[in-house]
Amino acid sequence: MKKGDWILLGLMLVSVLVGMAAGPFPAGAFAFPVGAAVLLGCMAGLWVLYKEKPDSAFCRFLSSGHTSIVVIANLAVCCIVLGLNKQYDPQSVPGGHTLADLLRIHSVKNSWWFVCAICLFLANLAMVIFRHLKRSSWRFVLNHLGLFIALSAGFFGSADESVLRCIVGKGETVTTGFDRYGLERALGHSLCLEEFSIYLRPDGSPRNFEAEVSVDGKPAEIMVNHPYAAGFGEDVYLVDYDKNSNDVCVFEIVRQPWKYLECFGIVMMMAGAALMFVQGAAKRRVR
Amino acid sequence: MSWDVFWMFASVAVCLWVAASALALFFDKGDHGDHSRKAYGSRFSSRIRTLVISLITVGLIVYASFIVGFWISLGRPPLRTTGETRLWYSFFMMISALITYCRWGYRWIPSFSTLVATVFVCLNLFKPEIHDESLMPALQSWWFIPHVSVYIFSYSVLACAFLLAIAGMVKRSDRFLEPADTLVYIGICFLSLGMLSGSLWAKQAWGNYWNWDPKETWAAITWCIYLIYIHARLRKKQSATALYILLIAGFIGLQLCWWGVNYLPSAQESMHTYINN
Repeated sequence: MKKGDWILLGLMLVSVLVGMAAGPFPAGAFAFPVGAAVLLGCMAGLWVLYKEKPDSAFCRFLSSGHTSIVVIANLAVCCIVLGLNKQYDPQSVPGGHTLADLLRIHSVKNSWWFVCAICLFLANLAMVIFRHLKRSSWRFVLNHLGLFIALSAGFFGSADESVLRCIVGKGETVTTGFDRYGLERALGHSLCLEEFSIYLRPDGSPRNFEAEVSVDGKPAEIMVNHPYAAGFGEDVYLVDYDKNSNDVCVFEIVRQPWKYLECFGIVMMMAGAALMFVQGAAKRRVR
Repeated sequence: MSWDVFWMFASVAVCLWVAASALALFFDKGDHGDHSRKAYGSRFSSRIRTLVISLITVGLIVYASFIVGFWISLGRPPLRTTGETRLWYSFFMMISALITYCRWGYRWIPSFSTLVATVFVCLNLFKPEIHDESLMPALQSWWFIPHVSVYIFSYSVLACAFLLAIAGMVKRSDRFLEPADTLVYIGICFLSLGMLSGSLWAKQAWGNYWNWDPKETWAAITWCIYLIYIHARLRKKQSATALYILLIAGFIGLQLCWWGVNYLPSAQESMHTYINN
């Protein structure tokens, strides 16, 4: 192991200890504009560091292929912990003082060490992009920059996301919904269910269902896989309906202002993957 | 066409693949580590090679006939249930084997691929999973076919890379790394496209591009393992054994992502569980 690897391991251990002492990661504190400022500040810091001291041990280590392997493996290990253990909402994680509770293995996404693993991954990715951007191929830019944009938008944008659920009867208009903790909040829109239709299969199970609604007075049709765009970064989803009465629907209003950036990154990565297929394996093969 | 006649098509196809495998394994006397076209062409018995390729191709046509007929009779693509995806896995497995055999001439590739494809055919024969004729509402999206089919194709290509890794470990040779590279690059392209198209679909269906659902988490783990392989190959310091272990770990990740995740405690409330909903 290199010296830098021990530093990365040390950072991960520190994040574990901080998590044990401080509880879940305070993601809410990174709501706009704090999250955006932290992202831009970190990017600017890394850029200045790269421009001023490109040959420093820190820059060389953070942008090296070896570090890429270490941070990807580190993220994979964190994901394995997440993938093996049942996850709960941060508020409903079983209380207690067992090691598993303190390490938050049942609420990995809200743990300091998971956040640390993603930050290390993003830092390495940013430095690799800075170092290779000028003399790199399109496929490098699309894959690496696309991943950076999608991941950082998803990560820093998560504090600005909200999901409000509301139950609406036929002819009823609602202006409030409930968040995942059951607290009532204003939708910012008026939602009225005008009509609801269910198409059944011969065995009586639903083949599809759709709702005719009016959002702020504008008529719209909402189906599964066909949400309605209510505003900037806001979509209304038809989630479920009352199987007994068939005239009560469950809607979700999802606010995700960073979604455009995330989508842009994903599309860049898709183009990068297609280009990789066309061009084949990288030329810098060793054996 | 239904699962009732699957055995007829499957047995014809498997017989043709077995015959091709036997021909390749016992009569193909080429030097199969030498990738140069010249060596390949001069030493390889072109008649045997043509026969092997023809038999695999005819087997694929027979197998594909069932898929097409089944698709038409269902009125939807047969991509929904585990049994139906196994159908495609056998198909793409043999396509990947055919491409690998044509390109590099490894005589054992048809045998291993036929074995894996036959296992999945047998699973379908002895435990066919027959379901409703229509897709549930969440699956009624134009993302459905591209998302599932590119994923299954990547699974089968990466399975071939796994076979090369096993061969490399057994023979203690690094000569299998170069063809494995090509397969991993193709595989990860399709794996990425499957994962990314899935995220766009997830936004449309559930409101979020990435939910850290168990299936998504295992897809990310698998993706990371293949990314490590690609980055490790670009460096000079990793041993062949370590690289083969990565390919094997990646394949285990794929299996966990595909069906193993259903047996994990984390998957109890997975959004990707469509059967029995």
